[in-house]
Amino acid sequence: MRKFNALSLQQKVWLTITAFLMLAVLLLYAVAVYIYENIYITNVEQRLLQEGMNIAAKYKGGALTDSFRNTVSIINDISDTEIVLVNNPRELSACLPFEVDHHSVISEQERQRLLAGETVTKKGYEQTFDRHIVGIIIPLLDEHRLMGILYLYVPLASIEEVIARMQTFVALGGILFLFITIFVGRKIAMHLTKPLQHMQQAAYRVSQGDFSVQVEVETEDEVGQLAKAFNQMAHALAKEDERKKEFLANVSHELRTPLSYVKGYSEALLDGVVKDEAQQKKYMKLIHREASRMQRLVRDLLDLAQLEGTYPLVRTPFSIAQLIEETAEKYERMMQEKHVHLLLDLDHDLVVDGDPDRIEQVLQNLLDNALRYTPSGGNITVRTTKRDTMCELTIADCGQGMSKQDLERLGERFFRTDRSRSREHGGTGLGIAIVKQIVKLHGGFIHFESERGKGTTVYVQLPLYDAI
Amino acid sequence: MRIRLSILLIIVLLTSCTPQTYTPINREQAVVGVVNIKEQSLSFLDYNTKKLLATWPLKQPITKAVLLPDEDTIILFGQDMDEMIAYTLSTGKETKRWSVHKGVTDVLATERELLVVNEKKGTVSIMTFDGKVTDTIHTAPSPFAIVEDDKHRQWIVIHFKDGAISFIDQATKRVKRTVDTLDSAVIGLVVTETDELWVGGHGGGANVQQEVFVHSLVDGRMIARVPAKTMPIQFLQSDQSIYVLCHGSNMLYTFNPKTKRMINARDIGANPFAMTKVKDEIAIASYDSNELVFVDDKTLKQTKTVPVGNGPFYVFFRDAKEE
Repeated sequence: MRKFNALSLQQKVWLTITAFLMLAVLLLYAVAVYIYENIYITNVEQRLLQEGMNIAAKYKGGALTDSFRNTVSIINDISDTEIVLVNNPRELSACLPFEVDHHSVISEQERQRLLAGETVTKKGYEQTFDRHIVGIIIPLLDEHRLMGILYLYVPLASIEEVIARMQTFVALGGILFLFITIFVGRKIAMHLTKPLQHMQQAAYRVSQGDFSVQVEVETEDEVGQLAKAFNQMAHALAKEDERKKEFLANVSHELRTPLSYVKGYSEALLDGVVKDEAQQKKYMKLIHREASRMQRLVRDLLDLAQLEGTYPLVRTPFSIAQLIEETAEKYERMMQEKHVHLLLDLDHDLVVDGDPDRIEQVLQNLLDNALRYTPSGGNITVRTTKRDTMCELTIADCGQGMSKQDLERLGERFFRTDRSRSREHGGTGLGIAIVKQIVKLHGGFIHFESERGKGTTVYVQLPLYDAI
Repeated sequence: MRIRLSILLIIVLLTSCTPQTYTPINREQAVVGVVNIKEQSLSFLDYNTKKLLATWPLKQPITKAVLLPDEDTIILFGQDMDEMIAYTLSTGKETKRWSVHKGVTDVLATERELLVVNEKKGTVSIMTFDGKVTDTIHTAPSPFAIVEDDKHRQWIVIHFKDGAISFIDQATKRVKRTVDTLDSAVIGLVVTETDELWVGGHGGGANVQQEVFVHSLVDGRMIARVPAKTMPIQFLQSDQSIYVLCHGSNMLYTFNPKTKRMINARDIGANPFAMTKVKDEIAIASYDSNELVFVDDKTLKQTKTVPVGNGPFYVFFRDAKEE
């Protein structure tokens, strides 16, 4: 068994197919021989019985006459069957109680059956004739007297010859079939295992970092499905790898810019290039601003990493309208500075089941974005409505909007519709990604609608407490 | 509970030790007894009514039964039995059993003793009626049957395998002469008036015996061959004739003892093995048809056929006790 397990799948399939086919052939052969032998011998027995009965019908009781003997003798001469008429009492086991030291043609048991009028069938070696036979013994009865027997037999050798001839044919056929079986079995096994081998090689290449590999899908069966799944996996891995690279590039890029600001301004200050105190202060402010940006960036990255892991939400029922109002208050000064109007259309009856701190983060990120892109004198509208079991929160701005392509990429890390402008506006490029993750954790939905020049609307659906 | 069990056990043991009791055969009845070897039983028929009186299911491989001179005791034995058993007919009880060597084929009961022929041992043992061996006579191989010749003070033993006759002197209890005869001989008949011994049997090998061999009682030489087809295996003598039963041809013949000419012939039964004289009838055991056939001793015509047990092989007659 251990040896079998050590074999390759192809060898196992090959061996199994070959073994089963050979077993089937052997069984078929055994059944064929059995049926043949039975049918043949049964046929012979029936023929002998019929022939014997026809002869026995000529016996009319009493002592066996010469005429009857002659009849039997003539039939014996012209028939293929050996027909023996026995009437010697000793051969008929008549003397048996006296323990006669003589092998009779029939045994005591057979004599009893013949006396009862039954016929006796013989098959196998018969000492009387010193050969293998198939025979029938028919009693010649005169009431209770066994006057004689008709022993009809056919030498079994002829039957065995037929079987022997068949055996040669079957043996030759069997050997030929065996070779075909081995060949076909190997082909089938190869056909079945070839895609698996390809997949194994492909998997190895993937493990070595080559995600471009693709397995050829030749069939629609389980192996074909596996190949398809493998290709999808390789594709997903390639995509993920790309995203990872992009992410790293983004992170380093995002950090490099503020770092170079900090490094440049601080060097200028240290070198004493800037003598003017007002100028020095301005440089210090710039260094501070860039340090803050890096701090925000690191904080957002940490948040996102946590949210993408197993972040535990502290869910509690809370009034979404109240939370919006409280958050809006924090933006009041900034709005006034930028001359942006915040319009609230809130349903105070809606109680959301969620983590208020995280939802506040959602609101802040979305309002930050809205405020960032809304021009001076513009409006931001925040609305809450009930949609079946959900609370729909809508934040609409009247900013520059974005293209369809950009809309699709919204939520990707460090994606900005306008990189330079965004950095200028102070965003980290992770806000929407964080929002999406929080909404997802709450079991809610988010989608964006936007049109260039007309602004962007964000729709966030959160589960209502009543619905639970 | 334990006491009850013990009592039960004792009863079982006692019953198993107690010899089997069979249906008693009234001493006042004339009966014909038949040994059925296939079913290993004894059948008793009332001679007068020819009806079955009783069957003793002995379940022992007995081949023959010998009636003792008291006419109430039978001794049962068989070639494959290592004991001989005596039963009293009038009580149906076993009276004695004693060990013997396997191979007992014939027993001759004289007035005083039993002569037990053992084919396997090649001996004739002289025993008392209760089984004590007083003398053992060694004979030629395969002794099969024994007959008494009082006139010449000798016992004659018929040998089965080698086809021989041994003459044993009653006085010296030694074999005085052994002569050849037909093969597979099974029976001898002493014909006193002619000083002849008629010998019958199966014949050797594939040869089927077609004649009775007649030997001299005086010197053992063969005097004549009497045609009797086929396989004469049983003889009887009456005043006028000798009866010869042939199992190979199912024939019963009568011969004149002096002229040895056939008087009468009749085919009887199916594979008949044994016969006995029953008053003015002869009872013949028809082995294959499991019947007892009665024939008139003069005409040989069948008078009655009575079904008996399976495989009737030996038959004997016990007359009623006269008051």
